[in-house]
Amino acid sequence: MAKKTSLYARALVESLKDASANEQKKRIMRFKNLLKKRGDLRLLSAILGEFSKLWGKRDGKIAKVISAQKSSASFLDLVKKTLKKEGYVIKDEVHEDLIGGAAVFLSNEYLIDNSIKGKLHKLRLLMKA
Amino acid sequence: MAKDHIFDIIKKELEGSDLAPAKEEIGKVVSVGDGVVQIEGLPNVVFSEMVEITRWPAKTDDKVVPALVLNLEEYTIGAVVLGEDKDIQEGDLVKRTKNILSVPVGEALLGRVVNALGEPIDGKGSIDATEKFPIERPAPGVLDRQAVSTSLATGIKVVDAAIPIGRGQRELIIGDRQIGKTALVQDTILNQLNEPEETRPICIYVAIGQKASKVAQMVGELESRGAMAYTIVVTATASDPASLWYIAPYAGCSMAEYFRDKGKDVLIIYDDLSKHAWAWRQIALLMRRPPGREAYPGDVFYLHSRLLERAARLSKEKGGGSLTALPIVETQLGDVSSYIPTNVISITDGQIYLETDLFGKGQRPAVNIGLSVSRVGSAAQTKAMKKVASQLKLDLAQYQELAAFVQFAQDLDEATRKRIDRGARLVEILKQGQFEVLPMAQQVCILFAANEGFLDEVALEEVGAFEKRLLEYMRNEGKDVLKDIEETKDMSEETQEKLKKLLHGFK
Repeated sequence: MAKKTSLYARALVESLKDASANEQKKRIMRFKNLLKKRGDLRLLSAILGEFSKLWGKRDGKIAKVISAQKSSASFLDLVKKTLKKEGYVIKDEVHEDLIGGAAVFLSNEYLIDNSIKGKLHKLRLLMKA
Repeated sequence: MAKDHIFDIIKKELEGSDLAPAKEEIGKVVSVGDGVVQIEGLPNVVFSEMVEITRWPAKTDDKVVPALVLNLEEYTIGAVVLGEDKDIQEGDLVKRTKNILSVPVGEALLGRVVNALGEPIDGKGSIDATEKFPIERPAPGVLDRQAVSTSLATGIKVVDAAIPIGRGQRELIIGDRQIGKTALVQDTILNQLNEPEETRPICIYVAIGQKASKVAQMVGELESRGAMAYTIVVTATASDPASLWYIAPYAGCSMAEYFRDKGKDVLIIYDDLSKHAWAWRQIALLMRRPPGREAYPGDVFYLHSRLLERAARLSKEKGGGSLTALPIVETQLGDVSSYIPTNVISITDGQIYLETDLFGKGQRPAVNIGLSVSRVGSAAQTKAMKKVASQLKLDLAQYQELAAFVQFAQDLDEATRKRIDRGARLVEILKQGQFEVLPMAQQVCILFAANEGFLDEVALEEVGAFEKRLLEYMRNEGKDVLKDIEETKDMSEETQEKLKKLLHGFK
């Protein structure tokens, strides 16, 4: 079962990789019909789970750097260099709610939170305990 | 100045806390509903690990909701929410804690009312417990145990005489609703006040799915009589989520094990395990585990056997402590042959069966002696009680056999009539109201009087009053005899003679 799911997911990644957004939509619909025809529609959610993992890894693992203000080029360069060694590709975002500092999500598996908001949250929990 | 003072306090409070950013393993909530969350990510999470669900970035009023990992699947993880699932949204962040679900343990918990996570709910402030125990701990092995040999006095005549409970035993209390199951265990807790402080067992009452008002009433009663000093109440009330019902007995057991491992005697009451099984059935069905008989999951036997196996009398090398378990199971219309009752009957070392018919006839406690049994038996009885109980059990058994026959018979011979009269008086003497627990020596005296025929001439309806007067008389005139029985835990020929003399004097 796992092998089947993984095969479908890999096939979907391969077919969507170089297609335009419009073409991707059509291919996804065709993929769904194919699953229906073969009686494998119940695997859809598992296939999509596997697909999203493979799709994310297409260009390498993604590291999302979220900061309260636009990060300086030198800071981003430094982060980029450090994370490249681990095989991550960087995407940066601005989230004003963080008040200050930055947080890094490493391919939705790890979080390094050095934002002011995160620290205040930790403090709140410590004071509550 | 005041500002500096506040900073100093905060600094002191947070001393040693690490606020430096760390690499935390995270996952994402895929779906939430009915107290169960499906989580994506967290590939290294382990079974029974606590995870924390929070929003990111968290707002000031956002809560951190704990959850317990119970299903490890290929793409997702199933966890039960140990709190309110309304505080969780799809997409929320899930953090690993790398801790197996643990609860605070220790002396600081005595006299407190806590929830299934060990958090205080009695408004008496935080609990200063330094140690934590995981809720699931292995039961003591074969070599770590010794035979049950010390009695655990319940203060209830019928139990102490006919169905004795030993320290380290597991005795099931079974019966329909509203029949006095909780009253019986409440009396058992209260009776520990009659025990000398050095041997007094610590009591833990675990309320599973009970009405909060009933628990409050019980706590009030224990507090007013001074029994809370040696009692911990762990409660997962009817309004709490099923996940808390499920973990409450394990949490209570871990709290009890702390004292057991320190060489103390502990009594734990699970009120009740039928509701515990319901909670596990609800969780298992929501987790999509295959249902079995009565829709319970396949591991419902193991659910209770692993809990009750933790009750034990430890060997001397292990400190000699004991953990006595009194699980309660509620039956429907007296059906003891349904799934959960039969399971728990087979796990425990005996059962006290409370019967609706007897309750209706005014028998309190409504214990059916014929169907009740203690497999540890007289090994856990004091010598004094053993001496009076053997005759009592024989007379009662003969009475029960004849009682059915007497309804049809017209003429009875003298011997049979005497036996029936004696039996009826014994049944009467075993009646006992709530909160009227008796120390062992007083129980022995009254049962001795019944065995020796001192009640034979008392009118049936006068037996209760006779008992009260006799006990009053014994407390005044027979102090030496009571003291002797209490200290030696035996009744020598000499003491028996003294007692007979006193009884003749009373008549």
